[in-house]
Amino acid sequence: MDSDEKFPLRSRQNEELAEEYLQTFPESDRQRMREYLAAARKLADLVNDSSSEPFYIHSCRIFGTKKTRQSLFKAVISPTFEARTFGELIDEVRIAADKLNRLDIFKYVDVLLDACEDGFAPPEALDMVIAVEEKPRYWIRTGTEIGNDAGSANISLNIRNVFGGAESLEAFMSANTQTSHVFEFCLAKPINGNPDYKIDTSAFSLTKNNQIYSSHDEILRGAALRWRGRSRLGLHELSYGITWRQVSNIAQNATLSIRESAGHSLKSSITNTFTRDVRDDVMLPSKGYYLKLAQEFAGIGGDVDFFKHELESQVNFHLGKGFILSASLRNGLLYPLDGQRSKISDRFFLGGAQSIRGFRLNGIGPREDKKDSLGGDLYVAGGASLFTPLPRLGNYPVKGHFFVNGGNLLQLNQRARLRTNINQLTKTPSISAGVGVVYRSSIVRLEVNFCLPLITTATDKVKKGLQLGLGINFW
Amino acid sequence: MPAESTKVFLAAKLHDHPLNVAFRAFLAKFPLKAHRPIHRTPHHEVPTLYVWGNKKGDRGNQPISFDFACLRWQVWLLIIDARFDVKNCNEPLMSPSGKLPFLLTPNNDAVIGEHIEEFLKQNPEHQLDLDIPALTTDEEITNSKAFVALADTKLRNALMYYYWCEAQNFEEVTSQLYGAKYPKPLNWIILYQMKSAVVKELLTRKPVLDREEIYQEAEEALKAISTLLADHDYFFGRSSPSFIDAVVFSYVHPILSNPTTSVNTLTTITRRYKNLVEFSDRMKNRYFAKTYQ
Repeated sequence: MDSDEKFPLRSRQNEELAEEYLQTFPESDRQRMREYLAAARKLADLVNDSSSEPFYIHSCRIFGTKKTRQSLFKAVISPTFEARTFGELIDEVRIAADKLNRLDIFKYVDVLLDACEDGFAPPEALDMVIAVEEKPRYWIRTGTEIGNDAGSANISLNIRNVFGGAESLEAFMSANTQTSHVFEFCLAKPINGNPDYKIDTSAFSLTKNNQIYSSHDEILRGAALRWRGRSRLGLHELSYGITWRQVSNIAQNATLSIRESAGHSLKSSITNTFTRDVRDDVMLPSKGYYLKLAQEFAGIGGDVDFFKHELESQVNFHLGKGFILSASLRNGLLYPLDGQRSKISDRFFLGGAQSIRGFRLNGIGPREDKKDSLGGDLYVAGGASLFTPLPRLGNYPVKGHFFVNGGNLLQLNQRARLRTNINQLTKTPSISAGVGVVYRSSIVRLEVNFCLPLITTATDKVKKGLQLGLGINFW
Repeated sequence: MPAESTKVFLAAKLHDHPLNVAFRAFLAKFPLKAHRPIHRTPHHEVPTLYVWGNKKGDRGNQPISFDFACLRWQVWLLIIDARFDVKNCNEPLMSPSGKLPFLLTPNNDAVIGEHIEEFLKQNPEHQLDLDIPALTTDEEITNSKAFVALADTKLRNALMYYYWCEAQNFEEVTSQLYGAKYPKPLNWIILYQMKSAVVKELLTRKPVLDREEIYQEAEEALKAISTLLADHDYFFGRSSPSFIDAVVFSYVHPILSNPTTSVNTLTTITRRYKNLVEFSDRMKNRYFAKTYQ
């Protein structure tokens, strides 16, 4: 976050943007807006001119709180008491108000600076009056989703401001047409009243149905403690989690390796994730880039020891006239420690309409009897997409789509060196290309592509011809 | 022409349309190149019996299963001279029934219980010799059935009680056997889950789990079996074992091989029947001597 974003009044850049935006309005509205802008500019100039005048906050009064604790306000507004000039004061108050707003516990936050009521105070003393209205504490959200080949219904129960310190509590349940279900419970608390830094603890239980591509179900139960922070660079997340994984319900015709991977395992791991997302849209971005780096170390107790690294990146270029070029690169490495073999629950899977088009879901990588996908320890995947405007549909979120994508997924050969493994990875990629149409609705991105697999590994499950993709994250 | 056949006719015509044919020929060209897979599919040459095998601290592959249900099939397959491998997987979730043992055929079919023998019979290449253990007289067959049923209720109840309901054994013996594979504290969760399943099963057969009564019944059963065996090498005075030998061995051997704890009532009782102890050693030497050397 740079300083112009933080203190918009100092920047003139916004006005240009506003002017550009106004071109779309009728003349009367434009006139009114211009007057408003002129007034705002005048005010801003006034503030700017008097920014070095000495002022300070003498006292603060808060109205409208019912549940919120005083300590939360204290933590948020304490920096405003440090301000000694009018400019500083305005900035700090603005930051404090912004934080209070983003805590998501108030319907509105009004901050008023007034002359001091205390007769003995010096003339540069100011009173700060904060008026808020708390949002309702309980809320419920229900929803339905349609995923790759299953429908699901979910319900989430939330309590806002649980202990009066802007803590949030969420219980989430989801049931699926394909026996899978999710239950999650999460308690999050902002650190020092700062919405950018949160600590949360969660417990979950979920059943994943992996029958279609690897003939088993997976039951996960666990708990995690997470710290999340937003810095200038992006989003940081550090977490410790312990998960009991149960690979069970092996299909009657499962292959040998899948059957032998049945059982319980306990993972106790530390994960560090860094995300920087400066794209203009998550589903169909037209500019900006995305970078995610994740490292996981398992082996503090439990029976799985590994080091896992994953990188995901995407970059988008606006070529003008509605043409967009998007490129992505992902890779991952799962390195088992202590001479262990990796477990299917930890491995990577690759392929599918959202991952590598032209292949079925998890259709790339080690496979047995042309049926069960085993997952791999080492992967690389990349793709390039060109989105084009469609004739007469310029105003709709529909685009033409040309793509080439590919990747490879392998199990680590621990007898060979890592470099040899990586060489092997680049030698035998699976690649496909195709054309299609992309539609971005308000909640989901839909793709229909005609795919042609160009190079494959004999055991890959390819999807020749039309492939439908429905989801949010596409590579 | 009925509507249905018109549809079929049209579909066939469309299917044979030159454009469609050309399109399919075009699609068939893809993928342009296919790499050979790097991953080699593992494969069992012979059927493999998945059993409870190694206990905590065991190295290598222990030849005799400690679990009576597994040992019964292991010995029976040896008696009928089937070609098979044994794998100590210690993981009941691998089995379609959630219980060990199961037999995994070379076609990756998991078969359990009576289906194991059925499968072996249907596939003669597994060199099954069912004539050796076949009983001849009606009296032998009836007796065998009755004593197998006796062992399957009384001895089984006692052994299950011994492993899962005696608190000390549960902690010192059973946890080393059935919980060996899992890390703490997962092993205790899984062990208690197994225990509650066992108790539930015992309660379907006995309304009250009375320690004295269960051991008393086991002793009576052992006495009857011991009398039946008398001083013969194998049951019914035969020169080679039959099904009843497999069943009795599968209960007596785990009992005798358990470590001595302060609650080893069952082991003490069984040791009193000298001919059963000798029988157990005889069976072990006959079928597992090779693997012990």
